[in-house]
Amino acid sequence: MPLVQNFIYSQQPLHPMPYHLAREDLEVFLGSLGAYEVHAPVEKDGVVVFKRFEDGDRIEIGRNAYYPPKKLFLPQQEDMYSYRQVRVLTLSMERAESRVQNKRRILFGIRLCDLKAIQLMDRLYLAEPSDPFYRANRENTVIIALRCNKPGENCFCDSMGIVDKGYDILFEERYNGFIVETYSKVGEKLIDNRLFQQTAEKIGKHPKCRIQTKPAKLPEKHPVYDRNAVKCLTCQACNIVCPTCGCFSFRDLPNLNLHTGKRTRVWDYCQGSGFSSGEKPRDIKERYAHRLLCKFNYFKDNIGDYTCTGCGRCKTACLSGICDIPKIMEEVR
Amino acid sequence: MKDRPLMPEQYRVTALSELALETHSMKVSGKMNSLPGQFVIVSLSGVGECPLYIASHKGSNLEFVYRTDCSITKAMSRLSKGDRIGIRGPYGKGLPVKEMNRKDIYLIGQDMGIAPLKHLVEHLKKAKVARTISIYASFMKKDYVIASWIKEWEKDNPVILSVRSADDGYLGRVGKPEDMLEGIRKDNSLAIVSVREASAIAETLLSLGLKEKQIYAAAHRTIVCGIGKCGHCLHNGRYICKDGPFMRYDIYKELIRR
Amino acid sequence: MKRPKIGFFSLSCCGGCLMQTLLEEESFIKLGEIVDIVQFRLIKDSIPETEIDIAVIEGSIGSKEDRAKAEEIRKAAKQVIALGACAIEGGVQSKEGFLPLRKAIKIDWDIRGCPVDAGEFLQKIAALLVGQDISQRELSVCSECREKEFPCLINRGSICLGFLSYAGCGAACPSKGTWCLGCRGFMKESNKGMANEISGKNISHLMDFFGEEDGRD
Repeated sequence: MPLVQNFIYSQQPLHPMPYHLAREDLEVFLGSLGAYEVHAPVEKDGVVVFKRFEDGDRIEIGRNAYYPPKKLFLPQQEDMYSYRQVRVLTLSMERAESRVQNKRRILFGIRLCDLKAIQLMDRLYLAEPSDPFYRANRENTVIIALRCNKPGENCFCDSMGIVDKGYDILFEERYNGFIVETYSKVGEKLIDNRLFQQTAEKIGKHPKCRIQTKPAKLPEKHPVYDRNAVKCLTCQACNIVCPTCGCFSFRDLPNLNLHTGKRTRVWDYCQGSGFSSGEKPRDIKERYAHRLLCKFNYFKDNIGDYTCTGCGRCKTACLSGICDIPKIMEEVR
Repeated sequence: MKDRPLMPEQYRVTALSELALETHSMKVSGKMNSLPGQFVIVSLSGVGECPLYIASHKGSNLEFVYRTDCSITKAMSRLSKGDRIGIRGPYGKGLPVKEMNRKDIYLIGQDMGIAPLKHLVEHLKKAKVARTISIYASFMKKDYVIASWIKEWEKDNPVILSVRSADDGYLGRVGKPEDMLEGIRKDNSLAIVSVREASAIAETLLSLGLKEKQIYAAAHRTIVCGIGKCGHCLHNGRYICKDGPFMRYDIYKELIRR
Repeated sequence: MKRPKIGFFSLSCCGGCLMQTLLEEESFIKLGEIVDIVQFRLIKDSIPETEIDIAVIEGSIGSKEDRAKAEEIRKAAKQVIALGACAIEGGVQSKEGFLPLRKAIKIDWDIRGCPVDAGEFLQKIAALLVGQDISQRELSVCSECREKEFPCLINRGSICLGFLSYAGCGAACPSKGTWCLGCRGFMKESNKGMANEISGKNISHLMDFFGEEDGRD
């Protein structure tokens, strides 16, 4: 059930006959969407990232982006409000709505694991009291999802559960191009374009991942956590590549005149040593365990779902090799 | 503002005083509804934010009692009467005041933990529903002057005070909170424990016959957003800002076991 | 309202931090608009007689004279900022026995780098002047590199000390494809024990280039 009224997606494609888009026409199509800010996966220095699409960019279809597109909804640094203090303090918060009116965005190429991640984050950030910045970012973004047609090296998304809804348009790579289905009125309008030809082919099923696992809640303590934690670099890579890690802090940035400045929200990381303290600070073993328990226990208890989507990025990114979730699942069973 | 959950409102500072070395009281005026045991987040633009318990709330007058141990509290102590201060909240679950009807209430506090207990006493005296209220408070010797406003309560309620350590011929009582808990009745009573680490006191109360459900303890964790989204206070599956900071002891015990 | 008095002092170092922070991008001028600069080595070199609000000291302790100067500055200043790798970790010269500043006097804040970045310096001074806590956050250069989505040098088989080092520079060196030297110092809980395994070779000689800090494992 959508938490936000504006997200009205159909569960079924709006047309019984899907469309076909030739591969060479993809960049042409994205380039024709001038009224929108288009974000798409592009290879940059050997790493696939979501970036603002420019003429000349070639979209990377063969593999998922190394970094997830969560930054479009929860940026690394986001201005919350600016302040001015001469005799009396005045705060001016940029009205979140103006970001919606002034900006329209398209996110192309988001895979279903990452879309599920955003829908999980919706349940945290849009729950009362709803976050106005996150909400504005979500409302102003058209989602064009890309169905994988082969599994990635470290993926285990089907074990975690695929969520096959919540997109305006769905693409699947096939026959030197893409099969395209639309699931919302906005999506319909966008593909009203001579580049799209109707076709009798339908979008297929999600491929089976090479790695299979049975997710379950994790034990609170286990020797595996302790063994792994000793190798942890506290580099925070796992927090950054994970599509559902969205913890944050605030930073005040005063200007040199000392009267004005702004408050920003920035990403913060439970794998950093200063993140949380209490009756006693968390040591390295508790920190390492906390992230796993957050993904498999805490949110399962609070919202009924694991917040690991099986994208495999933490395994790819961890230099110490201590974030192989299917392996950890096996070892603690 | 409901649609701006992280935006502070401006409150006017009406009084400031230094109670003891590095221990201050600030009174502000402005609209808010709060329950005892809740906290606010004080927001000073340019400096930062910090959570503070509400120590008193009468109509549109709020009071905070705090140590100047972080940049925000130090900045607060440099303000003057008439200045504006940013506050958002209140946050937290609040104490179970409805359960205190016709019960003996035991309040056990240490240092700045006294602040939310002050709010609770104020609320209970106004509501006149508790049977008796007894206060056990323990301080650092330099803060003993705070005891003066606890002494006010001594008119109607038994108050036992002590300092944790003393020198130069201090004549009052010296001891840890868990060593002063005489006179506690185990039936129809509720104990509120507001100290740094509640286990020692809670175990003493349990040994005196109280049940875990009769004890509420304040949990402590880094608090940033106050609304259960930033992840800092999430520990063992609970957000201290939403499920606490005061929690029933059976839940508190689960929370701090790791 | 009286403007805060700031003094800049140098002990044993190359002098690059003060050069960089004050002479680059007209920082000196911008700073002079909000504070009184009462001491700056290139103008005159003495300890002021009246109390100053903030003393910024670059350089390590290399002699009895350095130590005595540091102690005099400490007496004259309300707050002391240690500026740069020499003051905070001892610098390259720590191999010859030169000591970090905190071995002689109490430090209130540190601003890290080798050299320190002018923008970061001004931003921290502004924050300090409004009362903000400018302690170094316990985050790694990796976190900044990855926030900006730069390709990971270690993933490519290069060495890099970013996973040990303090964030705050915006991963300036890896952003240009060159490995992080750890000039800002290593985090309190950095995992030096894993460094050789991560790098695929022995890199111990690279890890104490800038000197040592207390509290590292």
